[in-house]
Amino acid sequence: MAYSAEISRTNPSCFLFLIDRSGSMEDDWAGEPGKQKAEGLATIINRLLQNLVIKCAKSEGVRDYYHVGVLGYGGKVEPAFSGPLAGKELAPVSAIADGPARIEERTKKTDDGAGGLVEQTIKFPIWFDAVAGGGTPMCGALARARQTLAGWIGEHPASFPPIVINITDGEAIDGDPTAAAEGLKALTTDDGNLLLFNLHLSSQRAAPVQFPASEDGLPDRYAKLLFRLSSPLPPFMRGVAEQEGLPADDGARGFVFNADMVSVIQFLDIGTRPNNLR
Amino acid sequence: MWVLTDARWLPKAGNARDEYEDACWPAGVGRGGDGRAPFRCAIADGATETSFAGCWAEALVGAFGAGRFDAEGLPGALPALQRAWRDRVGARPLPWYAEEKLRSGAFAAFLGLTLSAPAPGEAGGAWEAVAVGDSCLFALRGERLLGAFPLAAPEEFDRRPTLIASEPAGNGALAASIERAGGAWEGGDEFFLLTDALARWFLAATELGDAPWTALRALTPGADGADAAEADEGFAGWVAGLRGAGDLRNDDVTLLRAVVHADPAPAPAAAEDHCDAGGEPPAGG
Repeated sequence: MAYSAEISRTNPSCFLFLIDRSGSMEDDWAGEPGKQKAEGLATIINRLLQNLVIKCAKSEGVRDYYHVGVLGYGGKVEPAFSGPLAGKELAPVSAIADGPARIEERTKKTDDGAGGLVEQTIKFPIWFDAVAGGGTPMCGALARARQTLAGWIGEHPASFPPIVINITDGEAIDGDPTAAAEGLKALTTDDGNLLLFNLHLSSQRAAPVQFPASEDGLPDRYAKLLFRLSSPLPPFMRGVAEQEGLPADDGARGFVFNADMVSVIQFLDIGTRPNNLR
Repeated sequence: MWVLTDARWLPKAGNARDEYEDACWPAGVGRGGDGRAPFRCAIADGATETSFAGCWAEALVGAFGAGRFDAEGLPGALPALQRAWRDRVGARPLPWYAEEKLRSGAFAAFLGLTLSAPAPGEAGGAWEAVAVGDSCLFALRGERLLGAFPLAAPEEFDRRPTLIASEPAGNGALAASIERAGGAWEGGDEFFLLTDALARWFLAATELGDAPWTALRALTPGADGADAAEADEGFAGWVAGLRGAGDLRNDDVTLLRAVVHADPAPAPAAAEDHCDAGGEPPAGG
């Protein structure tokens, strides 16, 4: 059965994030008024990495259940980490945990367990700040991802297939990305095809959409194109999405519009996850 | 009344022994319940996706075994256990991710069994069990499975059970998740307490008409006179075989077998106190 490989330190899986750093990302983001799309993207990628690291954290440290990479595309396509991870296409998640550019402190109100709220200071690691400039070579980014992950799959043929999350406003300048996306999704491990998910950051003021099963109702041609490029959610992911309160109908795809995608990290099974863990 | 117990455990394949996050009480092979006091035993299963879960599982079984709560008293016992857990795990500085993970707390499934001594003139007594999550109890009388608790079919297991949280905020729905069961025991009755992977295997086997308890009995040194090292080796080989065949999910496994006797206890065996057959910390990780 596809998508059933155990994810472990001896048989890790892989997340590759593609982040659009083009000039159009300076435009306003409808997902959070007053913010640019580039700022929205930085918040989203930092939260994704934070959640991925925390998922793998145990009392003794971070277990390398995943290899993780971030490719930026804005003018050119290149590995986007700075500091000790600079230039690396993929790194074990423990190296990501130890390599944020800085750690900020933020306050958050949380349930005190007695019907009230208590304010807590939490640590929020920052790997990426907002960057916008140059064109949007999305075809180039997808092709580079294919090259990187073909090599990774060669070394991990029995793994749970890599997941690529492309975060963009969808305005590619190097042609129709369909062929490059199909080429990427054609990569396969013994456990199934690579999964390509798209997170669309848009200036369009339309309701956020998560994991739709149809492009009907999506607000513009960029959203519709990104929907079509996105892999269908495997049935087990749809099941977990429902348990998390996210309806994902038959045919639901790994696409969200002006919303985050942290839930994808929770979809993956590295062991028992309590129903009451929030 | 006297009770013979035997606990066997193994970490998930690929993990070190100190990464085992289940817990059991009592550990290893032992005899208890002599006299009129109730006999208690328990297992717990710390959730992989949470940190310091082994410590939390260990705290729960230890408190139950020591009589600090019973089937009714779990919610009331939690605040003290939660404070002790926080003091234990929060004592040293942690990296950002460990600090954030710790904020969510640890979670564990729990199953406790209490056997009460017979009333004067009676040949048997009462048993009472309390459970949260997917660790399961199986009661046997000879070759008859009297019952399975709290889950009764393999399809009832999922990877997202509601568990006991070490942080109060995680226990909002706990009261509705506490399951209780009870009944009468007769001399010679057996109770198997199994964490989820093994419990699921047990239920799948019974659905096929097999008698999985036969294999579990054979793994206990009390049954065939095998010594503790041989029993550990036998258990490890048996678990590896099931995992290799795809019949047992790769997870920490814990098996606690308790056999209750109404007759006066025979002379103590060589090892009267509970001991860890594995020679390492038996509970938690």
